[in-house]
Amino acid sequence: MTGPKPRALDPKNLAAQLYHRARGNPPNSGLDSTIGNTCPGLEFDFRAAWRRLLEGVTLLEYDNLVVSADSGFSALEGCRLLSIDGKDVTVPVRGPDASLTEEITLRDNETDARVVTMEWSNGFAGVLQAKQGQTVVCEFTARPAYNPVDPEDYRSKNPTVTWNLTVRPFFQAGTAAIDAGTVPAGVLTQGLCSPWQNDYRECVCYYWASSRPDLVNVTTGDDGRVRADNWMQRDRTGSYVIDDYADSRLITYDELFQDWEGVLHFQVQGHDAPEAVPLPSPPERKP
Amino acid sequence: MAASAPRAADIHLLRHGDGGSLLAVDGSRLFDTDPALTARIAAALAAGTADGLLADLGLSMPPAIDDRLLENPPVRALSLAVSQACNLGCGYCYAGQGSFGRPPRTMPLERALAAVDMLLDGTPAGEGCTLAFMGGEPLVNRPVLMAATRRAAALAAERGVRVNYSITTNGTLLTAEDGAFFEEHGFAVTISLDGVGEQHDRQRPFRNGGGSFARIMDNVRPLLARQRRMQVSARVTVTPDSVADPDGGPGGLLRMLDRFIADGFHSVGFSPLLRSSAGTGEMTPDTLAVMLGEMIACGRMFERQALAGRRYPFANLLNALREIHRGTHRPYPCGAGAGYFGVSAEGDLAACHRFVGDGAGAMGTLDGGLDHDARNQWLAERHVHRQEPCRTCWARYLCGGGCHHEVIGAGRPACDYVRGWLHYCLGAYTRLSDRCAPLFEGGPAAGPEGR
Repeated sequence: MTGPKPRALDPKNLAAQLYHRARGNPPNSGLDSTIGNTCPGLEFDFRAAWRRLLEGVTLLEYDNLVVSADSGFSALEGCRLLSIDGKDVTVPVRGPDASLTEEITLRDNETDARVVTMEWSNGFAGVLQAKQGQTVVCEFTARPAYNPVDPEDYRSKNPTVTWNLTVRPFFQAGTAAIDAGTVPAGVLTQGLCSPWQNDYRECVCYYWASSRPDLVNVTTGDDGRVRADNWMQRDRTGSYVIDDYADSRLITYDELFQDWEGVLHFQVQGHDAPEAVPLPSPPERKP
Repeated sequence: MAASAPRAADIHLLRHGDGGSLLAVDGSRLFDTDPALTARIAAALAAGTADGLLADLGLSMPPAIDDRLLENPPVRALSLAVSQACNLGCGYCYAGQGSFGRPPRTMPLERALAAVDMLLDGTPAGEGCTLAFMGGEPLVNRPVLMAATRRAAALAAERGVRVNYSITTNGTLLTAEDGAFFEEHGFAVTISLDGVGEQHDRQRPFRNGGGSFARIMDNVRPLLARQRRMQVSARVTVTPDSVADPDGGPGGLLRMLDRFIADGFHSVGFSPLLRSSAGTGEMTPDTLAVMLGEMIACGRMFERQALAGRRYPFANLLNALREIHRGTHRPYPCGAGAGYFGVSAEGDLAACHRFVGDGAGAMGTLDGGLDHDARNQWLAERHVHRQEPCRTCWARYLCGGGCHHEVIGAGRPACDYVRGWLHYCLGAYTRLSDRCAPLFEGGPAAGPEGR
């Protein structure tokens, strides 16, 4: 029996494995080179890596809600994880009030919650460091709680339950490869944005700034004033159109879905008109 | 040493059989290479055309270590020179027989407690720090050592901070009660042993000239038997005398290693003497070459034992393998002047325990606080990108440029030795990594200086 053909270059130590770009992957497939690797990202949504860290339950990638539970854990479905190994996974958020004069504990407009769930990389930091493969005490709301809850407030008025759950290993032993039981294939890309479609249309400019400025065709006149277009304008006018999906001067959702290559004027070698510069093609596809 | 000579700044090649292993220097990434690629890399190195090789192989990446300077990192380790006096008369001592060239003295209690407070005050809950005791011989001032430890333990419990304790001692004053105290607090105890019997006695005599080995071993045995939380290790300073021992002949270091491991030491490590206070007994290029051969003989024994599944705590190789496994890459050789400082009996802060009383490493005082300007200037000047010939050496991020104290005082006479040793360690890693992976889990056994 013969094994797989040895590779010309085989990453040996953890650093080599961590930084290695497998053959066929583009340069932006690495954690340090992605355009947006969270919230969600273009290439992958790393927050999803934490959803199944605790055996038996699946959490939301950004919240402490148990969205599904394995057999034997079904009582936890819809409940909220309040603390793990004695540490709350939510924190109050302090910030300026509406008048910007006083620091207050902020409230969520919709739910009135005064806490937010920490990013899981922070919320799980303690158990990741010391408890992988071990069971830890996890405290949940005793009943489903679909809106966020303040742990202290909740505990004073409601029962909570504790379960001993096992912390899955994050890496395969002795390697820099993420454990397939913790992050099954497909999970990291499951909740991605759909570039060029709704998400690209709707997300605000500061999120996409690295790949999509919302102010384009910028020129500065002799008077120092800037003339520019909204990136979603059909025509180059030099007059910025405020974003409004009902404004017929802007590209519509349907147009984006059906012909994003045609309606979006990508900048190629400094030009945005397709006829100005022939788009480069890979050599093997040349007629 | 020829195979380990520097040929290119960004890569290093190891050959084994038809294939090889490629070290991408930036990021300390190690790859196995098939025969064809190995031959291609070797040809590029021989022709001096290896510059673009990493990019050709798809291995270029943003620099893991750039020229940005570390500024005001948090203090996480202090070494207290609780006693700048010693009862031994070692000719090579960097501390000038413990007193650092000045009258012998001990650190007053209130100063030691102030140092503990400084360390713990700067360590947030949930994080860890290291409190080390060195000298001189720290057990000369046992009451202060114990009081400082108890203070740190009390503050740590109150604040949710982890404290690692360590002591480096000549072992002559150790008692069973000390062992109980060290066990209670989980000390890393390092015993300076420079050989077995007379060989040790020649290098580490009492001030009256008498030998110290027998007494040290009598004192240490109860600790070796007792170690659970405590770890008792042996550290051997290697001089030309150690590697040219007329009684032992070749293999002296291996015999020493076997003996101390059999005695029950938690680990055993060797370090060449590169800078002595009197300028005598320092290793030369010739004796370093002999030492390299002896170290590799110790390493070969480690490899055999590891493959047989037996514990063989040769600290130099075990630590190197763990660092290679992780791909440790460092712009400095240690934490000196960054997160680690030495405190003198008078309360002066120094870049590390070796710079106590040495203006070259002065970093402020306990009372006045850290001298941030001096510290940032130190960090700027000591960055490995500022060191020569390190900038073009393939081993620069594994070595970090060498011990500051040795380099400032004696230059870099040991580069060939360091490269030769790292070349061997990389090869040992490629031989062991598939079959002995559990060996590499866990971090290197860190001393107070963060190595």
